[in-house]
Amino acid sequence: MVSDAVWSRLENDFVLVSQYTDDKNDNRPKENVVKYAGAEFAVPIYIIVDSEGRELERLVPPTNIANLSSKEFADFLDRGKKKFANAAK
Amino acid sequence: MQYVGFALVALLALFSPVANAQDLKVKVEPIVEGKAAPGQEYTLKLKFTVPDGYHAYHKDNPGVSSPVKVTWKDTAGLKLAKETWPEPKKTKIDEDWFEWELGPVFEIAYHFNVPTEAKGTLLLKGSHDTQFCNDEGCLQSEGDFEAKVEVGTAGAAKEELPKVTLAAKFAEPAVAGGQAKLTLAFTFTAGFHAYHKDNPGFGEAPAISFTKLGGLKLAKEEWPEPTKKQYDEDWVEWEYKDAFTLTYTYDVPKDAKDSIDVAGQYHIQVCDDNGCHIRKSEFKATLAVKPAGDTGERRGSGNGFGPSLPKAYGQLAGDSDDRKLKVSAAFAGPVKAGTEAELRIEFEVAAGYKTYHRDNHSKEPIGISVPTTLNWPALSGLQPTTDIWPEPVDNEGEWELKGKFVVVQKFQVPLDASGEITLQGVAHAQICDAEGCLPPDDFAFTASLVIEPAEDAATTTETRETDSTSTAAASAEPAAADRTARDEHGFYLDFDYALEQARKEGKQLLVDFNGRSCVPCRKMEKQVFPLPEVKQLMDDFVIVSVQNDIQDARYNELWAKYKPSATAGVPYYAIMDHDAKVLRGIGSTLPAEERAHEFVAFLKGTDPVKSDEQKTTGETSLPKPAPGSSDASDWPQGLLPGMYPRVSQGFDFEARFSTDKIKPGAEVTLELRFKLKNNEEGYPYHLHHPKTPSSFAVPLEILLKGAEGLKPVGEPQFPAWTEHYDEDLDDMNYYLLGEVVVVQKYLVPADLKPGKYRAWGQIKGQFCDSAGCISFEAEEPEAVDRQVGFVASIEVAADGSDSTVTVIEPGTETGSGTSGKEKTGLLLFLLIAFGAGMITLLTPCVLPVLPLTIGFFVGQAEKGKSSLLTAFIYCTCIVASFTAFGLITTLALGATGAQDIATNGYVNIFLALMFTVFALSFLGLFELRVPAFMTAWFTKKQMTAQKEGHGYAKAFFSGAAFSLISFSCTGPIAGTFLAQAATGSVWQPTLAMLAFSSGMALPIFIMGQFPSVMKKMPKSGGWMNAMKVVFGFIEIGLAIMYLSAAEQSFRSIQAAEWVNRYMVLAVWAAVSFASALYLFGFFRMPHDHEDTKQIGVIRGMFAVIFLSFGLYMLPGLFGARYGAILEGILPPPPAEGGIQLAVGGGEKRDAHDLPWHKNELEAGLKASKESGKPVFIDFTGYN
Repeated sequence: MVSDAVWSRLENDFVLVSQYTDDKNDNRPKENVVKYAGAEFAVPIYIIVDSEGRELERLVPPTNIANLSSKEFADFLDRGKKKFANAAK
Repeated sequence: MQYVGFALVALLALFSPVANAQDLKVKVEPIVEGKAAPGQEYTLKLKFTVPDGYHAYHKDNPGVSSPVKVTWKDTAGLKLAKETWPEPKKTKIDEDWFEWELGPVFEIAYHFNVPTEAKGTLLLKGSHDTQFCNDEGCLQSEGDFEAKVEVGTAGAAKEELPKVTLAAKFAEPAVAGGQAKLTLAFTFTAGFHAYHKDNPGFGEAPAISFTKLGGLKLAKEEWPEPTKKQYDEDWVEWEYKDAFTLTYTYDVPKDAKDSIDVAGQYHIQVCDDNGCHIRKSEFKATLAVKPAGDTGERRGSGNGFGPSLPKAYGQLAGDSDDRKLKVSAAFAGPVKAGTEAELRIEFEVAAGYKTYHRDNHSKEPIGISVPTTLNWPALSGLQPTTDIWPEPVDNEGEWELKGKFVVVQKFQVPLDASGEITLQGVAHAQICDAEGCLPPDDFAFTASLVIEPAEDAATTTETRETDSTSTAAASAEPAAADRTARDEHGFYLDFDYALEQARKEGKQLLVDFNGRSCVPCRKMEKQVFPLPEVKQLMDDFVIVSVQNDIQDARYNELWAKYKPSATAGVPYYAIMDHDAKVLRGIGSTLPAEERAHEFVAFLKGTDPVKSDEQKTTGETSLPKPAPGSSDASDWPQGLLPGMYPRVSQGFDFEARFSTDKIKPGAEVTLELRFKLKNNEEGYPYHLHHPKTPSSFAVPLEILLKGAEGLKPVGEPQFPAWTEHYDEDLDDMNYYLLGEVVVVQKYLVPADLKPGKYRAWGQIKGQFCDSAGCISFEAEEPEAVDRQVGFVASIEVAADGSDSTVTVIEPGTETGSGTSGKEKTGLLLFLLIAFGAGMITLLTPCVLPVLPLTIGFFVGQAEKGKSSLLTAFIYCTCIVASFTAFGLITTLALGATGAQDIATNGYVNIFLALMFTVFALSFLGLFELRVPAFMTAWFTKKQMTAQKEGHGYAKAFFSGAAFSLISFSCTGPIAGTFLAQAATGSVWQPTLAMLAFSSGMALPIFIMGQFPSVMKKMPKSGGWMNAMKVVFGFIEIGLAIMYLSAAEQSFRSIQAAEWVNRYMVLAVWAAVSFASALYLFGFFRMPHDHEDTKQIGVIRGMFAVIFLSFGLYMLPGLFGARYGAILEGILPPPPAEGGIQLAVGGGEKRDAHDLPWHKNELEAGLKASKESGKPVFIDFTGYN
């Protein structure tokens, strides 16, 4: 369940990719998460990358993601968006 | 949900007593005593005053009233360590209903640990919420309190742990001529224990001696019941943990007036796993005495103190010159500041009289006469250290001293002392002759000492050396013949002789300071000394044992001289040169099993961390790992048993084989024991089971790195886990708690040569509390890769034991971890199965048959057959037939089968169907029966056996027939357990059936022996069918659970969609309500013959239970979550996974509806290039 602020940003401003790291038939998500978060990761991890896959912004444990307010999450998305825009200039 | 809560509150409000007396309040005042010293414990008491006639309740109140609740809001950095509550008044309300009442005034003590950096004034804040009641009703009072605690200067001498405190007080004022009760309440640092006076083990009992009794006569001495802790087969210690209270009852003399002062001293040994410590101090108490009512009668009674007075009393009264004891004292000579001074106190007891040894009260048997004690009214800066007493004469338990004797008291002279100082002392002694005793009296003496200025440190030591050698010579009284005596470990017992030997042999001296009553010392002797590596190293020393807790002046002196600190405990090992100077010492800081490594390093004189390198230089005799058994990177090599490097914070670790000696060709298990500790707040640490489904937890991992000669068999086996469900994270985790034992089986090859062999490996993982986890990491930064490992060793010998394989119940696996199977602890499961077996006896297929069965036993007994044997055969047969069933299931599933079937959708569907069939049968649609030919065959066999007079054979066939005939009731229940068990571990089905059938057979067996018990059984009737029907409903509940699990296993995402959590909850609620309504008699089922007009009490109770459970399920339908146990069984709610963002209000939507590129990062990047938007990656998981 997602708040409006987060929803609209996700829906309009981002290309969304989900990576099921425990998918038994597909090993790529696991490889990707290792690439971004290291071998010892704990999901959920949210990462914003540019079109080349370079990391712009991240939300990785031990940040207490479950208790983030939607405002904080929206800020996170905005930071990623801004960095992406700056890089494009 | 809210409405339910609201309704409940409203309902409660109706019943609660009307509290109109507003001025009735509980008063709480903090009592601030003294200053808090940094690094020490500070005790703050809260004084509660409850209005007259009311009482509050103890924290452990077993009754219904709520205990006093204190919440600390702000402790200003202090850490609450312990709280002490007063003893409550245990008021009996009813049979097994007690209320533990406190009041009207009581104090709760809170013990805080003061951090070392604390300073200034601390403001502690808290609040209380107290229920207080009288006979009419209860009231609630709450309020805040504040306490200002000043922090004292940190300069104060820090008291080393463990701390022992003693509170001595008389329970209440006494009447002259009556009795008085003195309580001595000992408390000591948590984790330590003391010993009972009759302790059969090594631990030494506390010694309490009274220096002043003011005429009181001991009538009774009571010791509380100790905890009897079994350390070994014939090794028991009677322990008191943390605290204990002694009670002394005294006869008060008839002529006692006003008050009587009592004083004494104690000497107590407290131990934990690491070592033992002696603490001694003094105590005082005052007894208020009320005069007895009638003085005349008191005089006349004639059995008081007066008549038993010795003849000496008359002579002595008022005639102080003619005292029967003379005491004088003088120092041996001038001493240097900073050294030790020796005071010789000469006692002269008049002929025909005697006095008593210092320890007359602190030995077994305890002497009655008051021991002589030395008190020091003026010490002028001297510190008494040891006192040496002459050998007493043991006269039937009284240690007597007669004539002239000398007590040597030693003092530590402070470094800054100078000139001549005068010391005043008082000997407190009782003098007796053959007929009686004088009241104890004080005998004062003075002595002066000339102190020379201190020289530099080196010479000072030398002086001390000479001092002690000379006294040693003087006090070396024990018979010379014993000088060469050694104890069982080869240690000399005479220190001075050992020192001579050391000089003669040119070896260093290894002194084992231990205690006769020291458990850790014994552990060192049993576990570390016998190691060949240690033995060999000890050969390079002359070894001597010195015990600090026996009556030996020389030992006492040595311990006083060499103990590393004023409060040090034993064991303490010291290596000395030929001048008895300590070169190095090692104290008691670790449990023995972990010490081998450090002890060897100590013997060698190397740094324990670096000793690994030492070994590789080939200096030692340690066997090298067998070639090829490890590669160069393997870790660790050639070490002593234990954990390397040590991780000691979260748990104690031990790696040991299940036996010390093993035969070639046998199998043996390596046991890796993790004894998890508690964190600072007292909550236990946990490890994570390797099968934990949690994505956050780092599981425990054991990597076998190598073994000399031994061959590992299979994988390490982990014990069963405890489920832990974290609601916030929606994460299921498997905890390993308490003492975690991981076992690994090894084969000892038949051709292995006798000798010591080792196995080693690495341990990975984390230990955690609720706040976080700490990875296993070497504490020494130099350690290789900071990895942690273990080494265990075993001796292979022809006379070793046969295979000793420890089997632990391996943890069960549940596949996806969300399938929600019940994984109750095995024991609980078996217990339930046993109980269910007993209950099946009450079903209509069994109960009516029971009288016939019992009749059969009685009949056999009349024919001269043993009813014991008949019943035994009969019951064994029942157990055998069911257990065979379980065994077949076990074999059919195979070792790995059991683990897979839980997640197999088809199996779950099959089980669901099976339960439905059982349910329909129980509800009365049809009756499940064993095929007729089977029962017929058994009945025929039974008849033949009977005809041929084989009574026991008949018993066998009857038992089998019973199993078959009762199948229509027992079958479904047995089947339920079988299905539950089959989804667990391999042997569980067999065990489940064993437990179940034992539950059935045991009552039959008992009734076979005591047929009269039969009369106690409930009479058959309609209620039996009611049971069947209720079972039917329960089976429906089970069926839906398995159906849900089936659906889950067919879906790749998290939860089932159709038969989901809500469906399961709805069905559970429905069957609960149906059961309740049925039991209340709202409807009948096909097999019910009678109408229930009036329902029984038990039936009503069950109806209420089902009704409650049904209601309890309702909030779940609207999203409520339950406790960990229920959540473990219930399926999780349908998926909201994927993205778990916080809900920020507004319209709630499912993140799954967003256009995700599932698992396709490449496609996402491509889309990003095209659309010019950044990519948001959600790394998530199905689970």
